[in-house]
Amino acid sequence: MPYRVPDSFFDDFEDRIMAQTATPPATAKKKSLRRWLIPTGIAAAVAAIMLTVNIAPASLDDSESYLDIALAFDNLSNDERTCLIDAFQDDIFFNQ
Amino acid sequence: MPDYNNNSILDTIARDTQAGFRMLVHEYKEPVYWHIRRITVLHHDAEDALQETFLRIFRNIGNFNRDLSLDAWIFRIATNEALRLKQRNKNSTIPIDAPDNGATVDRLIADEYCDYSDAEAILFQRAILSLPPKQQLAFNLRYYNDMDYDTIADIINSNATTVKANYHAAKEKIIRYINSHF
Repeated sequence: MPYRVPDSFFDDFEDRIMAQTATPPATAKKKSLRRWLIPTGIAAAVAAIMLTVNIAPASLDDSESYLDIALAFDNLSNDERTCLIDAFQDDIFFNQ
Repeated sequence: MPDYNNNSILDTIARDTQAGFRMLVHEYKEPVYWHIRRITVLHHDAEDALQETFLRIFRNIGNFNRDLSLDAWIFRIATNEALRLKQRNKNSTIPIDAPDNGATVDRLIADEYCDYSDAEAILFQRAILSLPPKQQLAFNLRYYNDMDYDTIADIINSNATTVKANYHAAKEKIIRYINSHF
């Protein structure tokens, strides 16, 4: 092959890579943010669906309703969340 | 003769990730670099892709399934990184099956870490770089890394029969290219 590398390129490569693995990866922050965003996003979507089809309690005003629904959604099991999303995501009133 | 075999690397990683990963880098840095370099052509691109490859391996080694081939897993990550970087530098999305249209061959001329005194080696690389990417990958992994068709198929997400066909088509084209430029 006609390709070459700079002198001692491979000699210190391990040290350079190991130094990079020692520093916390930038993606770690993204991951923790994503971990928070996914359930919050789902909760927000369900809250929007529930508000749109008027299944949220009528006594809740707008500022409290989202938070209460989001908290209630957090307390649901995975099966209950799936069931709720399946039931309302294609609701014709939501898509009007 | 390798300094460490894959089982000892993976056993060490299970006990001490940093020590095991250092062994893995020691064992794979050169073959992975040359594989990437044959794709990216430019040394600086190959260096970037190599670093990203090993960082990706480090982040995911805990999820590696020991029933699979470590070689194939590592080379697949490296291939994806090299192709991603090459596509990014071309500033467009080019599918793996798209013809190269000469852009990569031109990069061969531009790299400072290339020995232009060996005319035959340059011609051979030009011939390889004129191939469609899947034929290039099949040829390089078979010819330079001596990999079997199944392992290559795992790396490029294909099947052994297709890889074999790609390899033989590549070989024919390379012979024709060299004969027509000699």
